[in-house]
This record gives sequence, structure tokens and C-alpha cells, in this order.
Amino acid sequence: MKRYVIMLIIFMLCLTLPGTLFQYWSWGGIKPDLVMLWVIYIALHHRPVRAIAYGFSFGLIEDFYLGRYIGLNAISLAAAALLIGFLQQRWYRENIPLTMVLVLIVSILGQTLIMLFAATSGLNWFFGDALNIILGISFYNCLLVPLTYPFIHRSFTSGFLFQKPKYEHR
Amino acid sequence: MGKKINPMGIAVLVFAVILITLTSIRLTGLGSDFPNPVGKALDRILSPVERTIWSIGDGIKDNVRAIFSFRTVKAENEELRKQVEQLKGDNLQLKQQVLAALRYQELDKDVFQSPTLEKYEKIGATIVNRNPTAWYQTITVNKGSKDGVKADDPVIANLGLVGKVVAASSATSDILLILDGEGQVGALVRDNLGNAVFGILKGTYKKGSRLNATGSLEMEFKQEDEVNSGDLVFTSGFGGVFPKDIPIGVVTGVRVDPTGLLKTANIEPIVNFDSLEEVYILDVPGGSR
Repeated sequence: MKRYVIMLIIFMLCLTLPGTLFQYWSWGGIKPDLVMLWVIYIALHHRPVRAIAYGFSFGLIEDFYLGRYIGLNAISLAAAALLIGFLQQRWYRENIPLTMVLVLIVSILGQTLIMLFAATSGLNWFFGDALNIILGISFYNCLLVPLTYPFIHRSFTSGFLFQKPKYEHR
Repeated sequence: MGKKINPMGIAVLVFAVILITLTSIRLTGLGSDFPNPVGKALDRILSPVERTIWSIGDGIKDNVRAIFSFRTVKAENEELRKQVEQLKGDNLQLKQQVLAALRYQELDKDVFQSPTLEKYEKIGATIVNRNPTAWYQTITVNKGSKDGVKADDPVIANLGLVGKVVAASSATSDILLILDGEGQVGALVRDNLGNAVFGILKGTYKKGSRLNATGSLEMEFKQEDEVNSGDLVFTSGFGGVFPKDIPIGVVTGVRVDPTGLLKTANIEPIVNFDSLEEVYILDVPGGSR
């Protein structure tokens, strides 16, 4: 139970920090997508189906928080979690540079999905602007990996976020 | 014995979820009015957290700046002391200029004061958050529907137009800035003879400078329209959202379209959106609640 509360608190921080703290550290209006980063971290430490469920749920809450385009982040984060689910079995997740590359790739694809789904709802982006935003957010996410991932990974493998296998609960 | 997985069932489920989600995205776009109790509850929970982070952040920013720029501040102080002596000498001359400026201000007051605004009640609001994503130019203020704010209410600052309310929860409201290409404003350009040319003002944040936090504005005109640098831009009152004669900006340049049929005026907003901290929401009757 404690594990889920901590995950929810981290998610809430991911929701509020880009609009507050990262307002001071934005590069030309670009801020990181912390919710996507958090979903990537969760997906790296869970089975694909559960990761997709986390991605979709957190994305849906983010959509309700933003108050428009309900489902946009839900479907994009679910897709990002699905992609991580495929990649994580072939990826060495203890290696930080490799995790940075993974975050970069998944963030680019996730932000591209957000842009594409938004485009289907009538928002038109100029290619150059959209590319700058997608790459900007993705690089920002990637740069946050060395600062955040070691703690999160340790926590998932042996700390607060560690989940005991079912057979150990008996 | 393990459960049997039906691939067709999973495919149908995935397809249904994607279809429902896409429909939901389409129906809940910018400007749509739909009940969002979850969002309002989240707003109520997270607003105090956001306000706390903002105040801590501002405090840290101010103190850290003072510590790290101590040498610069000391050097500036010495320089300023010298300048004070010089300025004392200039003071008398400036006083005469101030008197002239006051007379000019008196003359100018009529231009920037809009009698249409006096009809409406103004709701003062403080900005508590800026949009956490880079995709829209919106801000959140600490006044909501319980204070009388409703969707489509115009928002102004002390100098001119800021934007309009796109969503109002009980305690907070989201405001779409005029800099965002999603919002358009019926506007008129008034030259120094008082003649008006009407058009539609658009934010360039979406078009060319989405990465530029300040953004800019532009209007398109016919080739024969008389529009020059320095002309003032006001709301025209057409469109039913913004009242007439709210100042928007000043024309800074006019580009001629390569086809020769149209010309585009670049408009610098008179409101400084980066340093905006307080706004007024106009309580216009007839907005959508």
C-alpha cells in the first residue's frame, strides 16, 4: 500500500513541477515531460500489461488535470509504456547512458504521438515548431535521467518502491 | 491450468479503447465546455502545492541572485552613486520635461481609456500557474466560478488585453493568452488621424515562434489599407467576446505579401506577458457558464 502512495505522490509532483519549478529552468519555453519520464521509469520495472495500465491511468489523470483533450496523454503514455515493455527485455537497465538513450527514443515517440493525436483534433502544427518542441522535451527528459534514475532504480529494486514477488507474501 | 487468452477479444478491446479515446480527444478540445469534476478536484488539491512551490521558488530565486551577484551589485552601487550626483544636476531640467509629459499623458488618457470597460465589473486575479506543457500559451489564475468567472470572459491587465477564460473551476480559471495562435481577436488599427482599419488579430506563438516565450501578434490587411508603424491596435468589439476599445498593442512593422495582394502588420503587445502577475477578469453578461 505504502508503495502505491509513494508512486502517486511522485506522480503528483511530476504533474505540478513542470508548471512551477521548471518554469524557472525552462529553455525558451521548453520544459520536461516529467509524467512521461515517470511512466518510463515505472515501465522499466514492471511487466508490459501493468506498465500500460499505469501509463494509461496516469495519462488520463494528467488529461483531466489539464482539462482538455481528454485521452491525449492517456493513449500516448500507454503507447510509450508498451514500447518500453518491448524494449526493456533487450535493454540493460542498470546502465545509465543506455537508459538515457532509451528515455530519449521513447520521449521522442511519445511526444510525436501527442502531436499527431492533437493534430487529429484540429490543432495544426508547423513541422519545424513541432520538431523543436518534441526534440526539446525529449532531450530535457534525457538529461534528467542521470539526476533521477539512480535513486528511482535503487528504490524499485531494493527500496520504498520494491515489490515483493507474490510467493514471498505467503 | 492457465487462463486461455483470446487474441481476437484483446484486439477488439484495444480497438475499442483507442476509438473511445480518439473520440474523447476530439470532443474535449480547446474551448469545449464539458463537466470535469476530476480536473476540478485535482485543481483544488494541487493549487495550494503549486502556490507553495511558487512562493518558495521566488524566495530562493531572489536570495540566490542577491548572493551570487554581490560583486556586481557593489560595482553597480558605486557607479550609481556617481550617477546620482550627475542626475541631481539634471533634475531641474527633467522637472520641466515631466510637466510636459503630464500634459501629454492627459491628452493621451482619452486614447487608452475605454468607456465600454466601465460598464463591466472587474474581478482582480493573481496568476498561480503557467501551462506545464509547451504546447499552449495558457495561465491559471486564483479566481473561479464561485467568484463569478465564466468561460469566454475577457481578461485584461492594467495596460491592455491579455486573453480570455477558456475553463473555470470553482477556485481557479484557465486563460488562453492572445499570443497563442488558437485564440483570435476581432481588432482595429487606428492611425494618428483616428481612422480605423478592421481585421483579425492572431498570435504568432503557434506560427513562427512557439519557442519564444514572449510571442508576438500579427494582422493581415489588403494592399490598399493605410497601416503604418506606430499605429495603435484596439479590440473592435466584433465577435461577441471582447468589448470594444481595449488596447492590444502597437504596429511595429508592415510586410508586403510576395503576391502583392496582402500585407501583414507585426504588432507588439503592450502587455508584458513574461512579468504578468495580476490580471482583471471582466464579468461580461452572456458568457457561457
